Amino acid sequence: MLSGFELDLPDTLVGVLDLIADGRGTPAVPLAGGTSLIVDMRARRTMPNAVVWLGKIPELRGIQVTQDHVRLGPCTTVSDILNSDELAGSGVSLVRAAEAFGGQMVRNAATVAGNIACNSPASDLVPPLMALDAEVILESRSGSRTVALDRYFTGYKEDVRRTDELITGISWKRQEESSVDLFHKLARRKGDAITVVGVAVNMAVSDGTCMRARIALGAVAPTVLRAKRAESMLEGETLTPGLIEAAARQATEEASPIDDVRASATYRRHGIQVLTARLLTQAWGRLT
Amino acid sequence: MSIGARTKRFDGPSKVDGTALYPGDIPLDNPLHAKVVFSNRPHARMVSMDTSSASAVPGVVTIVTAADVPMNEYGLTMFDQPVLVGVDGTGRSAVPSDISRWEADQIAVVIAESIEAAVAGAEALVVAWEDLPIVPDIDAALTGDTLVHGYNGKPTNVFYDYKIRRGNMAEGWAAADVVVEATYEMPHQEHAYLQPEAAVSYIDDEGRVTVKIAGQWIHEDREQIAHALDIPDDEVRVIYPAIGGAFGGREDMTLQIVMALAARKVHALGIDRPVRSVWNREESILGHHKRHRARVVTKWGATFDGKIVAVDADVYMDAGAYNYTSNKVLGNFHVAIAGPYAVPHVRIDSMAIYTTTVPGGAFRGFGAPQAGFVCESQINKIADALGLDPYEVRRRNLLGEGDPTITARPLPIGITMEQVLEECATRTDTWRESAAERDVRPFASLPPSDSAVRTGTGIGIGFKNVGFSFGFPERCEATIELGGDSDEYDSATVFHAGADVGQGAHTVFAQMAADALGLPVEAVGREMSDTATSGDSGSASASRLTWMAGHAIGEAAAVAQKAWGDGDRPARGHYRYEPPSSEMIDPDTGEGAPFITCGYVAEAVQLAIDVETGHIEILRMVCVTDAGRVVNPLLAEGQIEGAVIQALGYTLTERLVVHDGRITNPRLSGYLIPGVADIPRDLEVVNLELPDPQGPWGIRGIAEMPMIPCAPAVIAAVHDATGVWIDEFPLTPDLVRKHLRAAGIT
Amino acid sequence: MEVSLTVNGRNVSSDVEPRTLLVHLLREDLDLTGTHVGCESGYCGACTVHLDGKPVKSCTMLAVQAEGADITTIEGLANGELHAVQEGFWERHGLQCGYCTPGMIMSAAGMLAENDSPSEGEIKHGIEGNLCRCTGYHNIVKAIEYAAAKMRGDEPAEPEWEVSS
Repeated sequence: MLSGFELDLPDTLVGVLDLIADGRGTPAVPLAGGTSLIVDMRARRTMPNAVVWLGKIPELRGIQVTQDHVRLGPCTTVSDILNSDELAGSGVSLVRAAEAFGGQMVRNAATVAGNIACNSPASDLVPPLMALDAEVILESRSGSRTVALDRYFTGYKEDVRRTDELITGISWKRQEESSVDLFHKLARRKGDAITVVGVAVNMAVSDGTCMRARIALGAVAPTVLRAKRAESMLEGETLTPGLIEAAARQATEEASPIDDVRASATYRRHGIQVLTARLLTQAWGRLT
Repeated sequence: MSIGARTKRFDGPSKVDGTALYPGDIPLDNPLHAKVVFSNRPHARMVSMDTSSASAVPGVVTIVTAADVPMNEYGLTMFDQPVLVGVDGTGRSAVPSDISRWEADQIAVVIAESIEAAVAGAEALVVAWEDLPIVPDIDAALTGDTLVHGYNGKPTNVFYDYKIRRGNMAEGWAAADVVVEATYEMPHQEHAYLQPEAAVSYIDDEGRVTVKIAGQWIHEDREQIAHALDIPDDEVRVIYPAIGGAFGGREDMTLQIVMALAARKVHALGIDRPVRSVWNREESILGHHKRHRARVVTKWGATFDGKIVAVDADVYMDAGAYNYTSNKVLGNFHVAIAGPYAVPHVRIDSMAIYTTTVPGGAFRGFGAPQAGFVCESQINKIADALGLDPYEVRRRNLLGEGDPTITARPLPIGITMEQVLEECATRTDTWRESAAERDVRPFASLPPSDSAVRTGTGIGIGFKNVGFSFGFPERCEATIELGGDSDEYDSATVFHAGADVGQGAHTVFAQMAADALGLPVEAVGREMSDTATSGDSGSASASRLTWMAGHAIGEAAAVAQKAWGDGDRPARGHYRYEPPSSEMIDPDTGEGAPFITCGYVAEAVQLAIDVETGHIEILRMVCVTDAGRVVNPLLAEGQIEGAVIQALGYTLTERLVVHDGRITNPRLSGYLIPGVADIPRDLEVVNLELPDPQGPWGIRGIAEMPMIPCAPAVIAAVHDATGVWIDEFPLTPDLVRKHLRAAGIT
Repeated sequence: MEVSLTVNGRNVSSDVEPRTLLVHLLREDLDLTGTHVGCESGYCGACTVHLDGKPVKSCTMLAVQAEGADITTIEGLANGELHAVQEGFWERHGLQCGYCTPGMIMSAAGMLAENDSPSEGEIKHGIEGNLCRCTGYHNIVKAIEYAAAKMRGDEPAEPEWEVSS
């Protein structure tokens, strides 16, 4: 049973922005699919006084792919991602994460902005998006701003979004042909299980040299994070098994995993090493 | 004939169209809502409870407390638990009722106009506690520093024990060429039936306190309710509607007694309304017992040719806060430590130990899976140490007809362990074909690392007693009424109390009755699971129900046929079947014949393991059982498949975390039962159907056997793949990596 | 607040609190108790219903989120006779205790509406959000294969019974 709250169902974006700005004397919490927020409310981990549902505004949902960019509306569902032909060509790692996300019913309801806004370090969509250098578009009554996803999270369950701001889009540059993006997660069950370690890799190679390396790690720190020092070990280099192992080891140093009910910190650290090395090996192998 | 037919279950249509009514679904006229309040204290003495604020919450009608329980005690085999913990008890209890010994000890039932009001009332209860030291595990309990049930006069938390003294251990060790020693740790297991506990209660037209609930033995529920309410059994009525799974987890009391108390208290206030209570998943996991966690320290000796000559073991079983059925589980655990093998020299000491944690109790296998893990791991290690084929080492030790077991008496006649083992050997013969040749790609979604993926095979075997054992009185009643307008009867109704927990018991009862009466199964009506209409069937547990009910239904049919022949209309036949009794084993030597009959099982596993991630994928699995003659193969195969997957969950994914007396993951997100993606690529279920000479129609039993040898088979396969033995489970990737890392596999 | 929706083809309006979950609207206000509650946290799938044709978990949705939507529950799936998936679960013994069954059937029906020739892997992906504790899933997969064949207009293949006695 949830505790009580006020609920609004505006049918315009302006209406939402008004409500989250202080519509009823208290800022309202945006609700999209509810697969995370309502579970948290039931468990009393969050007890908002006011909730604003975004489902009455169809234009918040959709996938736009232009020549240079991909933009997801905030209420784009995980199933939308999975079923998108266009994303299959310009966001493979995100589609892979969507496939490993919950079960069918959760995928039909859960949204991309919800998966970011719930601020879970174990988010499945955030690592691939972060490795794609995605940006988050935040809008409020006073305007909009764009924040790189890897600067969006500031600590456990903390982010840069003000309560009067709504995520209104997620976008990234379409990848050049000589690039590969990959995602894999380790979990304790094969389907519908919370991530124990998630790793996304995005790599571009030109003339036998790694031009861009992105490594994003999930469930191994207070937030999803990029292993930037590991990335920099790879950029400008010709990858060798030894270098890949060293970078993967470096990635484990950049994480700060904890022991919890799902796995030990030791296991998580080791999982980063294994997944990062395998994904880098696979990416490099495909590009050379 | 109806026996052996793949009859579709009669309740199928109502379960696929949503009309089947589980206890939480029953339509009620103007119901009240009850919230059961847990102590939320693993170990504490209640100093006071003030219900005045709670009673003042708008919508709260009344609150049931210890003061409302005439006999504030219960327990299926010993009264060691208060129904409600409280300070204002009647004093008529074998156990001090002011102490909470478990976080889910019940302290009150708040009854209100709405769920919201009941919850608000529960939150308004003011309870003062004096915390007592928590006894979180076996080690803490064995120090004896804090006694969980100190009033019982024993200076220890060990409250039940069994012994076996057979042969001469010195002779045994002298004959041994190889000795294998280990300490095994077996985890808790949560039943995780999909339907959380729920119940409805009211006073029926005949003035009976009536409880509709999902359980496993309506007459035991009735007896426990009547005892606590201090009224005759026939003033209590228990009815089972559709039951959403059980697996042993509904064998003990959860809502039965408190909901009966609730109905009575509401009625006493002059309110003629039914009461409903529905637990959520967290309440279900916190509030009912688990499969016991346990530790076994053991040492086995064998000769070079693989003959086991000595078994020495100490069994420490964590019973949790109350006995539940622990004394009975421990008996099964104890006598199954040496498995289906003949051993001349044996010392075993087994003990049930109180802690201030969730009680252990009945769960599919009832002690046999824990014993099977120990026994089959030991014999697999002996095979490995001697370089013997694991099938061959078993052949050399199997008990045959008339051979004394470790309790010095033979197993019941009709031993088919050898045939089951040989069938499993035959079925796995083709496994020499490698995984690569079959184009199997384990971990297909993982980026490849060929060197990290290894494959292995393993086996385990076992047996399980069918029916209550160790002298516990067995019985099963059935009534059959024949109908028809001509000289020959053309229809029948079976009255039976047996619980259909999902296994299809009611369909099988009708098939057996049809067969006995020579009627088509469609002509057999069913009046089921209501103490007002049926005699005691005993429980749906111990793999016993089809066996016992078959005897009772067959005999009741004969009695009814005779009545028909005698011209009785309606012609009714009632029969109370009581099988030959089993024996309690000797307290000093363990000698005795504790079983009535047994079923046999062998399981083989082929798996792939990624040694870097610690992930395991079951490639192939064979489960060979001898369930005796099968009444309905469609149902039997389904039940075996379900048991195999439950056993795989126990082995691989199901990890209940109990810390400082509290379950910290009482949710299906943290306690992971297998999903569809976790099932083996190939699962072959083979049923030998070798008739039980004592069974009706040759029936044995089905339900529990596949649970027994899975964990040791999987662990043997992991050893085959990696060279590493693991003496604990579940084999989470984390645990697997811990052991591989310790063995130098990085 | 007032919520208006279509449930099993019938227009329904109900006055609910904002915190009312869809599953509670269905079970308590509309007496559609075939939609079960197994965890109330989105982990078991027993509460699965169709929202505009797509399977969703009704325990992690507010009733108000179904405003204007077309909801189908297990009670609305049959159309005079059992839906092919319902028939498959009975024919192929894809259920034991039956508590997960309505949710399992709704997931399967939603998947088959989009793909009537799923591979075994696709079937498993479609129901990985539904837990069953009784069957071990093998017969559930067979039941869905039976339904897929029926929906394509094919005769379901006779199962290869595993028993060998």
